[in-house]
Amino acid sequence: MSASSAFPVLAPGGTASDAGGPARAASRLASARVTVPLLALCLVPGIWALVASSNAFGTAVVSPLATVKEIHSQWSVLWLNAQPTLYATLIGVAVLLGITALGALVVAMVPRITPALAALSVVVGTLPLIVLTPILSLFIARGRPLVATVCVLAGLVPVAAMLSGMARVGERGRDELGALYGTSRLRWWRFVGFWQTVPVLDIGIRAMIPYCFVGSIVAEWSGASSSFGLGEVMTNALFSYEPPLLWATITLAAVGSLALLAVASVAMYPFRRMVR
Amino acid sequence: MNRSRGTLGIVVVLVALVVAWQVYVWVSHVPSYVLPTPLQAAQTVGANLPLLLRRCLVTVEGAVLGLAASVVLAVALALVIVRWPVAEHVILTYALLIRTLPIVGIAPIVTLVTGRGLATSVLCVMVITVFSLLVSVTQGFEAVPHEVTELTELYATPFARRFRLALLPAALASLLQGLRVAGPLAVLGALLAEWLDGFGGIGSLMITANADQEVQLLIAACLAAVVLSLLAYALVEVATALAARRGYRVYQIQMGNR
Amino acid sequence: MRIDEVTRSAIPEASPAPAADADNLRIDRVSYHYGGDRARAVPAVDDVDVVIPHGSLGVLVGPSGCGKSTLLRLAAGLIEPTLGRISFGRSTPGELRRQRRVGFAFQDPGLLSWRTVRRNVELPFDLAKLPSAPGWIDELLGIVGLTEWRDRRPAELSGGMRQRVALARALATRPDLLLLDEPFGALDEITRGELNLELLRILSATGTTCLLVTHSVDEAVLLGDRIVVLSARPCSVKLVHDVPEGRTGREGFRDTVAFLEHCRTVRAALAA
Repeated sequence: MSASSAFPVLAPGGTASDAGGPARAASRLASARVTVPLLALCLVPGIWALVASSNAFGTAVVSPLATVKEIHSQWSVLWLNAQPTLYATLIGVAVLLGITALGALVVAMVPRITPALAALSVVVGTLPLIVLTPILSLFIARGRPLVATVCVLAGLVPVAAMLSGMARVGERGRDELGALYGTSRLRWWRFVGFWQTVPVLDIGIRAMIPYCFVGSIVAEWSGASSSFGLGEVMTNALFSYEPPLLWATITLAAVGSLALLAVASVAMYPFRRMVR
Repeated sequence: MNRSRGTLGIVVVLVALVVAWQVYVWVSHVPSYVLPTPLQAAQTVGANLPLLLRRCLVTVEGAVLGLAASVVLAVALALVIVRWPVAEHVILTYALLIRTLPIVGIAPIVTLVTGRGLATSVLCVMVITVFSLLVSVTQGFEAVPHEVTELTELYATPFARRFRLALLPAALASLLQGLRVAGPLAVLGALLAEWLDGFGGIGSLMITANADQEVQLLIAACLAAVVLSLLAYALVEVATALAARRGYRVYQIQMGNR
Repeated sequence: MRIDEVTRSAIPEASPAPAADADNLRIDRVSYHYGGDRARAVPAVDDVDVVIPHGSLGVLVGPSGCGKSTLLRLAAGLIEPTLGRISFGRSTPGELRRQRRVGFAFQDPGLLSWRTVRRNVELPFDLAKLPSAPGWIDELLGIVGLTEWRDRRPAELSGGMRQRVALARALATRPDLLLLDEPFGALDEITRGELNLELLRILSATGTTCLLVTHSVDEAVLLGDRIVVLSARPCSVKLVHDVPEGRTGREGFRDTVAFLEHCRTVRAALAA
């Protein structure tokens, strides 16, 4: 959100001279900018630990320490189950990236289908995923194909929204410069349109990844996988009443989702840098 | 004109889906106890209308209350961000973290804590919607024109007044945009909560229908859920149109949340 | 008519006289209505009839929102007139555009943030599918005084520099007709004055016919060989005023009595 201020603009004519005076205030502010978030970031695990130790909610709330211990002791089981989830998610993300690439080109060539795409994202977004799994299992074999399919469906909403945004942003200026030089749609997209859509692409992909990951887990939860998966562990932990295992799985899932986000962020970095 | 074309697009997509469904049933010869035709599904909806309506009401209650709580929380947190910018990274980090939590895992814990009932739905809806709302409201607050901010500084406007006169109107556009995503999501959240804790609404109807292998009822419940979500979307669209008519700047095309 | 040696210092004396068969820009009784021919159409341009002689600079001056930019778009062939016709020599604006003989600097420089200054100036070659001319681009960057900044991004430039880039971009395809839509509108008085004189130097060196839109009377008189005063919307011609003083010595032109006289005439026509 404060990305624009993170890149100082080099103004010709120089404003470097007025950096000397408030430098100390700036450094104090910078240290506040580090310490306050750090304190606050520690605050919530603290509250979590307090709530857990107060036993107000019985054994349902597991303390952070116990959660970490559970992750450690159950690591082999968790990792065994995390692998198929991650794998299915990666397949889903790859399929969605393909859809994005193809869709971006199609939308750039035929902008008229954009409203339909926006509508599709609305309609798909209203379908409850958890119900989709039993219905889809009629047509698709349970296991990795089904999990990946639900994952793709979950990610389709932000992708369709992203494509309709890309169509709009990519067209910017085509009625002036593009018309003046009689530029074809493909040429415009190659030299201008694509680059204009990079910020939308960046946001869209980062929006898509948690959707995908959660989609895979929901799929496994509602019985799409045949044997292993984080969602499977969650159901088992719930039905055999093992709150520590449930908390451990949730924490692991959140970490996995954040890790995927970080990977996406790093992968988009060169593009972001290019168009900033 | 743009808006009516958007509505038309949604109708076209819906019709196309129904046609594809019908064609699939014809082509693949699936028996109707596995997958009913659209007409049969509609008949099931008609036959179970009172039941579905009663269940819908429960779901709507959870979704609306949850969404309202979510909006209040998002506005409050965004205000904190505007007032004390240091808090921005912390709050957004937590919001991001909450969004990456798998709701199917969270909901059972919420159930364990709050018991079965409306509170679970409300909390689940909040978990699922608060992030996108927070991001849009914050963006809205930050979109207050620089000149307006300076004017309020010039007249030393108290913060409460500044909130009412400058921040809230400026955030309306992006709040509505956020709601366009969050509205259907809220319905989804309430469904999930009911699916998981078996409390009253469409979600628990789905789970019983699924368990009893009543595919027709399951699909009817599914249709009801889709209609609810579309209604949520349409309501936000109407609100957007009203806001636009009263001179607020609104966004026409939806964008994915961050 | 395309002069390649743009760096030569000899600048033609006196404003070019219109030759009978030269490439004059003729705006022949042109009207333009938004929304086409129908009853609810909004008229933007009403029966404008002007000739800008080949190689000279015409200035359109009028109140804001009067339809000056519409007139410029008509001249570029981006829109078609509802009535009347526009020609440049024997070509229509559309033909001219397809032959890449038009340059247009829009009100907003609209530079691409991910391209360097040099790549921004080169953009028309990419868009128009023309082979690039690196030598010419370097020369052009020298003309607008941006050689040292060629590898910078637009975000690192000042407003005046960005306008120079936009100007260079418009000149990149060596247009015979250059259209400028309030190119210096957002700049401060001093930068504006500098750029105005620079523009005159460039136009004289390239011999390009130019049509420029402004709402500043000073700028109009300083730059224009022929000033067209337009009325409020829908715009029609109120006065066509020639400034016979040559392009040399325009640095001091502002302080002369003749300049003030021209300004007075134009201002009177605007107010009438």
